[in-house]
Amino acid sequence: MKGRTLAAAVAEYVRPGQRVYLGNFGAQLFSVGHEMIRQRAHDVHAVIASGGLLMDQLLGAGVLRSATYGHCWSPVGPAPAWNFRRAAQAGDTTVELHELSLGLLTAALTAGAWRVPFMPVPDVPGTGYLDEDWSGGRLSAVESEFGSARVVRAERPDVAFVHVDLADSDGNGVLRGPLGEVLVAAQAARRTVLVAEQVTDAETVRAAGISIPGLLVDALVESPGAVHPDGAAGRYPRDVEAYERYSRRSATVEGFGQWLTEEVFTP
Amino acid sequence: MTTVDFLARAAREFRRGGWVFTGFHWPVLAGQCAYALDGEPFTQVFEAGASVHLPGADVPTSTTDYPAYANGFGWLGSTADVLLAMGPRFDRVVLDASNVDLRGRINSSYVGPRERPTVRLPGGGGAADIAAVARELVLLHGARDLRRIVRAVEHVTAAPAPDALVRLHTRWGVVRLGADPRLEEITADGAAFRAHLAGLGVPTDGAVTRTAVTADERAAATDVLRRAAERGYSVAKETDNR
Repeated sequence: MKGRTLAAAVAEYVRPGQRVYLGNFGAQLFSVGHEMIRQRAHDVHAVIASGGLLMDQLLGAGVLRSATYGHCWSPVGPAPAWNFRRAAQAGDTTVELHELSLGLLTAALTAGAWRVPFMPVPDVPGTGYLDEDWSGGRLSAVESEFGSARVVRAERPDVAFVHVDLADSDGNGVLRGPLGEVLVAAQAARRTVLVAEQVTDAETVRAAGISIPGLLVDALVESPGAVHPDGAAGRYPRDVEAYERYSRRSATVEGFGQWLTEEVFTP
Repeated sequence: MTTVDFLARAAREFRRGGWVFTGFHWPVLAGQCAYALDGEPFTQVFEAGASVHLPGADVPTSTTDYPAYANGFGWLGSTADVLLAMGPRFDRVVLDASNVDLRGRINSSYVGPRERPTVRLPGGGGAADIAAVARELVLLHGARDLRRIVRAVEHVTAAPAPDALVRLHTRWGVVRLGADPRLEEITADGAAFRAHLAGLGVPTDGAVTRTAVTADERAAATDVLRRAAERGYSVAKETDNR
C-alpha cells in the first residue's frame, strides 16, 4: 500500500471525464474537494450521495460536468446550497444533474459492486423520480419469469474517496459512525483512495474493528481534519460557525468567489 | 401556537415508544425534546444507518451530525439497511414536511417548472424510499404559512403508500391525510387553519380542541430550542418562539 499526500492522490486519480465518488454520508471529504478545486479539476462526474455543501462548492467552482446525488443543501440551519439553487433557477444545463433517492443511489452502487448492470429496488410510485425522470434515465423496469421490478442502473465510479477514522499501512480502515453507502462505493469503484484521520498500527486498527478492508483500497492518505467543517466522531465536532459563514457568503456569486479565495486558495 | 408548544406536541410521537425513523430538522428536535420527558422507551434510527437511544451530547445539527450523538450509538449499519430493508418494520416514520398535500405527499424538490424553477429546493434524500414503505407516517410542518398545505403538491418528492396511516402536525392542529383526509385536532387559535382546510374540501367538524401542553413539556421544548439556536437552527433563533 503506497501512502500519498492528498495533493498527489487527487492529481493521480481525478481526471477529466472520470466518475468520482466522494464520501462520506455526513462526513464529507471537503479536503479532497478543495484540493480538486485548487488543482483546477474539471469535467468531473461526481457521485455524491448526500450532496451537501461539498457538491455546492464543486458546482460553484466549475469542477463538475455532472452530479449524481440524493440532495444538495446545508444541513446546518438548514440553509440552501446557493450555487446549486442559482444554477437551477437560471435554467443552467451545463452540469447534468441526476437526482436519485438515497436508497436508489445506494442500490445503484451495489449493482456496480456486484458487476451487474442494474439492481431491482423497492418502487417509489407517484414521485418525480419516475414521473418527471429526475434521475435522467437511471431508472427502468424489468419483467422476468420471477416477477417484475423497478430497477436502477449500476453506478461504477472510476475512483472512490472514502473517509475513515483510523487506517493501517495496509489500507484497512475504521469508521466510527454509520456506513451510509461508503462500503458499497468502495466495492463498486475501480480504484479506492482511503483518507484517514490517522494512520496507526495494524493491531490498533483490528482492535477497533475494520469497516473498509484493505483489499478494496489502492491508495492511502493521512489527512487530519479531512472532513472539516463536518465533524468526525470522537475527534472534532461539526463546525457550525464555518457552515453558517459559508451560507452567508455563498448567497451571492461574488461572496462565493471571495470565500473560495480566502478559504480554499489561501494557504 | 408557539414553536415551543409545536415542538412539545411533536415530541409526543416519540414518547409513544418503539423504533422511530427520524428525518432531518423538526424530527431531530422533537426527538431531543422527548428524551427529557416521561414516556415509553424509544430508539431513533437515521438514514445513514445508525440507531440511537440517548439524547445527543449536543443538539445534533442534522441526522448526520455523528459527533453530536455518538454517545448514544447503538446499532451501526448502512443506508441500504435502513431505507431499503428495514423501512416497513418501523413503528413510526417521522419526517419534516414544509410543503405537503392532502394525500400526504411531500415536495422538497421544486417550486415552479422543473426546467427553470422559481425555487430549487434541496431534493428528497431518502424521503421517497422511507415514505413509500412506512406503516405510520408522521409529518411535522413547522412553517407559519398555511398556503404550503395544498390540495396537490406541484412536484412529488415522497409519497406514502395508499394504506399508510398519515398524520400531519402543524402549529394549528393535526390532520389525517390520505384517501380520507380530515381535521382531527385544532388549537384555540386555529380558526384560519380550519377555514383553509375547509376550502380544500377537508371535513373539519369532528375535530377536538387540543389540550394545553404541560409545564414539563414546555420546559423541555424551551431548553431544546435554546440549545438548538447555538447549533445553527434557524427556527430556534426566531424571536417569537416562546
